[in-house]
Amino acid sequence: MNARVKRLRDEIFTWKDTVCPHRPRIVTEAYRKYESDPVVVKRAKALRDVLEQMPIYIREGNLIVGAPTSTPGAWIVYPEFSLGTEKIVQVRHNIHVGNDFIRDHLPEDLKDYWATRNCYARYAAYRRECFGDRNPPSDSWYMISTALGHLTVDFRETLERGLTGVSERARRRLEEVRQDDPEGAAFLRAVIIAAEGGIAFANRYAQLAEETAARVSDPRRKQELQRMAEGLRRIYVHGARSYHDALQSVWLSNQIMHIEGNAWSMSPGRVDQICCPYFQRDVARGELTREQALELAECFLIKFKENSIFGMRGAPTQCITLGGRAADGRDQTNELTYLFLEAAREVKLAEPLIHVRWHKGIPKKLMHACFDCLEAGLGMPMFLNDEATPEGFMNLGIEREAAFDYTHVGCGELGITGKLQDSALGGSTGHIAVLVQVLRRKRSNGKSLDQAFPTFEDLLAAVRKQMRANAEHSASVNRAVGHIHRQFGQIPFTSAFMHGCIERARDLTVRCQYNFPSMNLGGGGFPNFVNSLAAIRQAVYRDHALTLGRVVEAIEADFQGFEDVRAVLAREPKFGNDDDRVDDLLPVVEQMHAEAIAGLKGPRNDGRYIATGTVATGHIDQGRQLIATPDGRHAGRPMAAGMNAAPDTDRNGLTALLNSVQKLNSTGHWFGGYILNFNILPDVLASEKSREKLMMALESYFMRKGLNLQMNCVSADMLRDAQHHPEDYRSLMVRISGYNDYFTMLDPGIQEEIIGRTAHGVK
Amino acid sequence: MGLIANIQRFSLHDGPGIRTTVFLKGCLLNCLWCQNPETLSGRPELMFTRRLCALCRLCERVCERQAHEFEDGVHRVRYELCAQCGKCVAACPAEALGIVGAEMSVGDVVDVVRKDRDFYERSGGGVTVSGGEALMQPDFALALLAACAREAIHTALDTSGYAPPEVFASFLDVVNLFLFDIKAIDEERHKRLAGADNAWILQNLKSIIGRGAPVIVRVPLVPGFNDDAEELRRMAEVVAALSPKPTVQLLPHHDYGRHKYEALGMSYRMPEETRRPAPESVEAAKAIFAQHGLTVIEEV
Ligand code: SF4
Ligand code: SF4
Repeated sequence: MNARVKRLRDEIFTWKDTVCPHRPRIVTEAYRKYESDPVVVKRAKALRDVLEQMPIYIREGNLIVGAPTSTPGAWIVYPEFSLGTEKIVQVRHNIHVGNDFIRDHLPEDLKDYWATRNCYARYAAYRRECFGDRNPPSDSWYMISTALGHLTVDFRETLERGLTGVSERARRRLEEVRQDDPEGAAFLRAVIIAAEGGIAFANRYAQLAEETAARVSDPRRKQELQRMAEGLRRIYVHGARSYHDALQSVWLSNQIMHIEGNAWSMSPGRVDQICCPYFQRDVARGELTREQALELAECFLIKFKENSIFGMRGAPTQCITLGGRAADGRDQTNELTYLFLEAAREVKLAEPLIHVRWHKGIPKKLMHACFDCLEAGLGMPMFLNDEATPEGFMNLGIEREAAFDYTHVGCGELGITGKLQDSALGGSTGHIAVLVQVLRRKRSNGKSLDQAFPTFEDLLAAVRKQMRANAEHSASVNRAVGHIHRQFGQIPFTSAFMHGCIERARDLTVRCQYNFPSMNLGGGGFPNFVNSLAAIRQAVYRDHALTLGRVVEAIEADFQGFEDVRAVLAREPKFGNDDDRVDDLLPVVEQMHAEAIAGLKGPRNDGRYIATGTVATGHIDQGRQLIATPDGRHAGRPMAAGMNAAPDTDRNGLTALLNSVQKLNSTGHWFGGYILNFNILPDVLASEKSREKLMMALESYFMRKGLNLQMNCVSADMLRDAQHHPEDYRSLMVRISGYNDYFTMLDPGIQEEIIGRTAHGVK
Repeated sequence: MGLIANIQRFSLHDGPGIRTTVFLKGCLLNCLWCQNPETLSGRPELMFTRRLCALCRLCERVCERQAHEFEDGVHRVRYELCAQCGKCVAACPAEALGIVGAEMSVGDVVDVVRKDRDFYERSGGGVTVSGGEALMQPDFALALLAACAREAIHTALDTSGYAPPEVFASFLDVVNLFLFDIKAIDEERHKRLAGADNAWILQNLKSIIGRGAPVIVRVPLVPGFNDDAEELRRMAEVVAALSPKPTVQLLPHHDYGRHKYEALGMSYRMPEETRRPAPESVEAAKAIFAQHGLTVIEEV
C-alpha cells in the first residue's frame, strides 16, 4: 500500500455517521412530479434525477470515483422502501447510532408523504388484511424495507459497449413489444431512462475531474484527473478501453445500482475474470505496470468500505469472487487473481468479502497467496468449491456454462453471474425453535408429553408438521413481499444487467433467466437442532435416563435445579465431531427440510424453493431470545452459526469437523450454500509444512464435496488482549458466518464466542 | 484392552502429513518438564479444573468415597480417595471434572483412526502412537500398530526408547517411522532429569538404526536443563556416530501443559521462569548438530 492508498484507507475510520439528504429529497420530488407515469418509469426518472442532481465529490488522490451520497461514508436513505432501514441495520450489525437516526434527519413533509406509500407501509397494510393478528416473520420486514438484491449482475455488456449498448438493445426490444405489451414497454422505457441517467452521472464526474484538474497544482495529479475524465466520458458511451476503465465502469455501475435500491449483497462477482482482458491488453501495450495495477485494485477495494450504503459501520455484504475453473475444466486463475488478493491483504478491510474458488487443479501458488491473506489476519478469503457447487446448480437444471460462472453474493448465498435470482424474502422452516415450540405446546387432550410422543419418530413427525406449516406461512409472506416489490420496488437499471430481463421485457422483480426463491432453514442453530434431537433420542428414548417431561421442565427453568439433566444432555454426542451417533440425523433433518419446502408456490408464483443455511449474525440474536435447548445450551446463549459446531462443542479437531459437515448432501440439498468457519492459530500457517498439511485437509474435504470453508487466523490470547486494548487492534478482522467485521467493533457476546471456538491444530 | 489418555485427530506435529495421535497412558520415565502429566500414571485419574468449577456440590452428592470436600467456598479434591468411578464426572454440569484414561480395545481405537484415512492418504499422514510411553503397554501398542499397518495406514511410534531391548525390537515390523526422544547423554544428568538412566535408550536407538529402521531423533530443548553446549555436543556426537545418521528434530520446550498438574493434584516441578527457549539458543543448538554432519529439522 503506498502512502496515497494508505491515506485513502485510514481516513475512512475518522468519519462520523451522517445522513445524505439529497436522495430522499430528489426521489420524493420526482415521485410527485411524475405521478402519472407507470411506477417503473417513475422509478427510472427518479433515479435519473438523483444521478443528475445529487452533489458529487472526488476524494483527493482517488483514482476510482462514484458514490451514492454527496459526502463519503454517509447513510443513504430510500424512503420509497422504508424510513427505518437503519433500525434493521443496527440489529443486524449491532451498531447504534441513535434510536431514529435516519428519521431524525428527514423533514416532516417527506415522512408524511411516504408514511402510507412506501413498500414498508404497503406491506403493513397487506399484512393486516391477509394475516390478521399473525405476525409475519420478522426478517420479512427487513426484506420489504430493501430492494431485491443478493445477486451478481453481468457487467460484460456495459464494459464492451457502454450503457449506450444496453440502451440500444432495450430500444430494439421496445420496438418489438410496443404494440402489444404495455407492461413490457414501460419497463423498457424505464431501462432507457435509467441508462441516460447513468451516462449523465459519469459525465458529471468527468466534468468534476476536469475542473479539479484545472485547480490542482501537482502536475502528476493533474494528469491523472484528466485521464480519469477521459475514461469517465468513454466508459458508458463507447465501453471500457483499459483496465482502469474496466474497474471504473464496474464500480460506477455498482454504485448506480445502490442508488437505485438499497439491496444487500449486490456483489460484483468475478472481477479477476471480467477485467483480465483489459489488464492484459494494457500490459501488452506497455501502458500499465504491476504497481499501477495494484494501486488501482486497492483504490477499487477501498471504495466498498468508503461507500457502504449503511454508514461507516454497516456493511451490505458485497463480495468479489476470484479464480475457479471453467466449464471445460480449464483453470481460470490469472494475474488479477493474485493482484486482487494482494490488494485485499494490503488494504485489509472488512468489505468486500473475498472468495476464492477451489478446484482440484488450483495452483499451489494461489493457495499460498490465500494463506498469506489469512496469516495477515484478513480472515479471508473464504474458499468455495468448484467440485461441488456447479454440480448442485446443474442438479437444479441450470446449464453447465452458467453453473461454472457462479459467484458468492455475500450473506452465505451463491449467485450466477447475471443469471440467477435466489434471494430469500423472509421466513424460514425453522428448526431448533420449532422443536422447543413442539415440546412446550399445551396438550388439550390431557396427555402427558411422554404419552403424546411415545417414540422418537412421533416427536419427529410433530416437528416435521410444524416445519411444513412454517414454510407454508413463509411462502405466503414471500408472495406478499414479491408482489409489493413487483409493483412498487422495481429496479430497471439493475435489471438491464441481468440476462432475460430485457429479452422478456420484464423487471428483475418479475424474473430473470434463473429464478429460485430460497428459503432459510431458520438462521442459526442448525447444529443445536441436530444435537438436541440426538440428545433426546439417546437420553429419553434409548437410555431412558430422562423423561421428555423432565427435559422440558429443565429447559424452561434454564437448568436451574436441573443441573443433573443438563449434565446428561450436554454430554451426548455433538455434531462436528464425526460421531455417527448424532451425524446419522443429518439426512433425517435434510429430508424434513426438503419436505417442508417441496412444491411451495414462490414469490413469483413459480420456481422451486431451494434451501439455504444462511446466517449473518442472526445466531446471536436468535440465541438471545430463545430459552435453553435440549442440547444443554443455556437460555440466551448464542446459537451455532451456519454449519459450525455449536459453540465450543467441536472437540476433535478440523478433520472431524470436516468429516461431519461432509456428511451433508451438499449437491442435492444445499443449493443455496451453507457457511462453515473455523479458527486456526497463526502458527499453522507459519511453516511450509503445516501449510501443505492444511492444503491437503482442504483437498480431502472439497473432493468429498464440502461446499465452502472459511478460516480465521487468530489466537485466543490475541483476542483477549484485543478486548482490553481495542486501540491496538483496530484492523483485526474476524469473520462471523459469511461476513467480516472488525473484532473490536463486535458485540461482546460475539467476541466471547469467537474466543470460545476451538482453535484447531494446536496442542 | 489398552488404557488411552487421548486420541488427537488433525495432529500436524507428530510425524509427516495429517495424523491421528493415540496417547497411551503410563510412563516409566518421569521427566521434570513433562507437559503431559496426565499420561504418566498407568491408571485412570481424576482431573479437576478449578477455573470451571461452579461450586454446585453435585459431585459431593454423588461421590461414594467422599473425595470432594467443600470448606469456606473452596472445593478440595481428595485424589487419594478417588476410585475413578466417573460418577462425579457425569454429574458435573460445568465440565470441571474428567477422567483421563479410558479402556479401549484395538478395534475401538482403529475405528477412530480409520475415519481420517482420506486425509492421511492425501497428505502422507497416518497414525502416531505416543504416550506416556506406548511401550508401557507393549502388547496393546504392538497390536494397535499391527492393525493399522494391516490397513495400510502409515504408522509412527513416538517413544522415549526406555524399554527392554527385546520388547523394543518387536516393534520393528509394525512401525514405519520412529520418533525417538533423546533427553540427555550424561547418565547422571539423565537420571536426575528423567528419573532413570539412559542405557536402554541408547542401546535401542543404536539397534533399530542398525537394522535399517527410519528414525527421527527428537531432542527436547529445555532451557537450563539440557541445552548447554557441552551436553548438546555430546548428544550430537553420539547421534552422529550412528549409521546411517538419523535426522534430528529439535523440540523447543513450552509450558502449555502446566495447568494439568493442578488438575491432577500434582505439583509442577519446573521453575516458574522456564518457558520457551530463546530463538538464538534454538539456532545455537541447531548449529551444534549441524556441525556434526546431522540434518536438523524443525518440522516433519
Ligand atoms: S470418580 Fe467416583 S470416586 Fe472419584 S471423586 Fe468422582 S465420584 Fe468420587
Ligand atoms: S459438580 Fe462440578 S461444578 Fe459442581 S462443585 Fe463439583 S466440580 Fe464443581
